Amino acid sequence: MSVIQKLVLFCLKSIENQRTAYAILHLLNGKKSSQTIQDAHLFHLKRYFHVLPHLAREEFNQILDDLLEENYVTCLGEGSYRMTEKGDMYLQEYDEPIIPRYLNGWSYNRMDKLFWERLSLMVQVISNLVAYNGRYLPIQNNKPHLDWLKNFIQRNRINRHELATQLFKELQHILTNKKIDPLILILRLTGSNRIGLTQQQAAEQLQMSVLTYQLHFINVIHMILTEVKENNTSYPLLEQILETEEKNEWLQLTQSTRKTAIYLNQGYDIEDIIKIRKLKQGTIEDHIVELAIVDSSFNIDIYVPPEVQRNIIKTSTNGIKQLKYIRQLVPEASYFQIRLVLAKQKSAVSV
Amino acid sequence: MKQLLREKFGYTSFRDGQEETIKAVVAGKHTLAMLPTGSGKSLCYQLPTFMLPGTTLIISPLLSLMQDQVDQLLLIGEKRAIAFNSFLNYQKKMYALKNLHQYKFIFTSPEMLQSKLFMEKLSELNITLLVVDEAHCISQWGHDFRPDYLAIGSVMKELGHPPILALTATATDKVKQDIKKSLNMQNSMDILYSVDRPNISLHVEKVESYQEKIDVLIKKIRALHGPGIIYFSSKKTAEVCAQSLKENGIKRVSIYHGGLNHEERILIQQQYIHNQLDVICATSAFGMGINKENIRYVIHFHMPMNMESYLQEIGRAGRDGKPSLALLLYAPFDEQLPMQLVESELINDSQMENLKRFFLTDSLRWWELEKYEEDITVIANLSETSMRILKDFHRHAILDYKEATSLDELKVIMNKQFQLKLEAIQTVYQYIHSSTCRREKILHYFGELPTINIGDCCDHCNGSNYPDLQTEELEIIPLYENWEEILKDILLSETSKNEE
Ligand SMILES: [Zn+2]
Repeated sequence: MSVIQKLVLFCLKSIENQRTAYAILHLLNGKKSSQTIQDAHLFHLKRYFHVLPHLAREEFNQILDDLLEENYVTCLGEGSYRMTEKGDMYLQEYDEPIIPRYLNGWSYNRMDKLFWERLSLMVQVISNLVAYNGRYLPIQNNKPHLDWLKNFIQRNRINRHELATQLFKELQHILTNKKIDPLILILRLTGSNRIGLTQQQAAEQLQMSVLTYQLHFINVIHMILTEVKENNTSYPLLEQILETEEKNEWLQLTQSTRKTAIYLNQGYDIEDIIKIRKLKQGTIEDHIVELAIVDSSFNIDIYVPPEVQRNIIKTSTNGIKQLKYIRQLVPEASYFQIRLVLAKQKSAVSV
Repeated sequence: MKQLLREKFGYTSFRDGQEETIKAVVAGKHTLAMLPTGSGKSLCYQLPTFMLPGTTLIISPLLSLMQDQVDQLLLIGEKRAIAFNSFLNYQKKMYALKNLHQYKFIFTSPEMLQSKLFMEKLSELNITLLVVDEAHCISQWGHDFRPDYLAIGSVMKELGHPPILALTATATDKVKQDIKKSLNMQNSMDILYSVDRPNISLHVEKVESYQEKIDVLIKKIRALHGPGIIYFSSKKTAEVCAQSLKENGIKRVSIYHGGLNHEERILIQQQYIHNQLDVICATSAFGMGINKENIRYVIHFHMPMNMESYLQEIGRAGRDGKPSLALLLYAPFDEQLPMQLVESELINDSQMENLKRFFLTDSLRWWELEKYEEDITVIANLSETSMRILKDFHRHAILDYKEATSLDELKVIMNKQFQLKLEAIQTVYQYIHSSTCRREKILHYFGELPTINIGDCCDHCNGSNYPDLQTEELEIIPLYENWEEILKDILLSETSKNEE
């Protein structure tokens, strides 16, 4: 069974026949609809959001047909599928996470493409610097990326050979001892004298389908992103690629909040984090409020039902700001929920 | 001039026709230059631009080509170049307009010349050279007539009547006259080089079926040496053949077509230039802007649409002057594919009837054509190309306050175009089935006479043996299995250090 088939089977299991299979396609495509976003949370599939943005409907149907043929699922009609016992057995036989383990689409869906484009450009430019070659075509023609890179080179005014050595060390370190095949990334890199492969070519060389390759590739990028975020001091060059608005947001957070954010992004809920981090519920809630203030895209729907949010907003816009009074007017909301909604409002205003 | 050539472009000598053209341009003469493909046409205006005081405006038919040119200039460190076309979004356009005077090279498409704002800004500049690239597009007798090109003649006044450089690779006598007339190039300096490329041996091979063609192709590619291109008229067939080649042990093959994104296009081009690939299975999208000297053969799997584009495509072989091969494969009824393509590229009579009915039932529709594009596409079953033709025509028509009834004029143009394109296919058909010297055929078509005796001329003169394609030992990039070796090669390699 291919890794994509496993992923789809796993998702089918998770949605427990409550949605049609196409909800999974939308999830993997990263469709920005409230239904899909809600599904991602409800069925704990946030990690797989937007991991295959180019997966086509026909390709997805083919995957379903293959699963059907092998009797891993049965079709209930109308796009609805149920996992069979055989499918369930198959998934249970694996202790290891059966799907690329570093995937974290919910957190990185806006960042992974940018990261790859800048990384590939950075490698190409530095490689040509080392070779004293000034004539080459940049493999990315995105003007902001080119400007950013120019800036990057100026900022890191060290000897070009040291720069290359540092980048080499960082890439070598980040790819070593991880549960990935480094060639998935390395084959795509372009240097002064060696031109990288396209995604199709790399898939061919590694003898996998293009779809499977795409999934593994995203997995590697997400692994790097997590690693750089968690140990930013070890990767001074790679860290600079994340210089976006998001990184500024990230820097504003306290160390402890960052840790909580990482857990949340990995799909753990508040109770899990309390257990893992041995912290009080109030502390974790503070972190979440902080995240809502800093990150305007932070979605609070899973913590506060939209209707309750509306009631809180209504009372607060009527001039009542003190938590105590809002609580009296909206008794169904907890203090945490009220704070969260107010924090969210604040971040929305400041944007 | 030579010094500038060395400093700016890194070349030590001019190629055929370049020096003469540049001298004429710098002297401020109208110049018509017909130089063979691969002779470095762009240098003919790039170098003079550095010598002239003002701006050079370059009109070019293909948007992708413009960007290629800007990229090429960037490569030599010239940043004052811009492609001003419909690809720019509103903000970028406004920014560019505001700063237009800062550019030394402005590339644009003929349709942009109809933008009032753009023309206003252009008229404020000191334009010291107007380049009309692919100038044959201006002639209805040419193989690639673009009505938009006719507008160039009418903006000359606003541009301050700058000297014109009209460039083309292949033009018959009729087309050359048309170019000079449309652009009002009186007393022009004509620099005409033969379309002949003596180092390319011309071969045609007939097979019985599509399958046999694939088999023959595989056999040929196995036997041939050096880098090559195989041209296809369909992306699908290009993919199928690339796959068959790989299955038959020819691994360093890639496809190339217009559907690739920027990163993939650059990667495949560069892999080819760096000799990481031997064979490209391409559609006509491949080749322009590719400077690779050592291409040893160009094979056509499908029948070309006309002699002009055939010559342009085979002209990518042997730019280093060494013996090279052009091979055209033909199976019975191959002429049907180009005929279908012509059919789909133009607007036929029944489509025209539907269009007229659509516009005449409600005259407002004609004046607001943009709103109805989707409806029109469905109602008249228009292809992308024919939709473009309709829009081009419409843009001109409404400028002259012409009603929808003016579609009759388009109908006349279309019928004429259709005839011309069928004749062009007929010419290729005759070339394939001729029993006399192929080079003579080509030269005759372009109004030239054979001048020199060529050793490896064609299959009729020299038999079906190919010339000896000498290939230099190419440096093969090691295919490391180990990722750290590759990473070292990219970032820590010291070998290429002293190359420049
Ligand atoms: Zn001959």
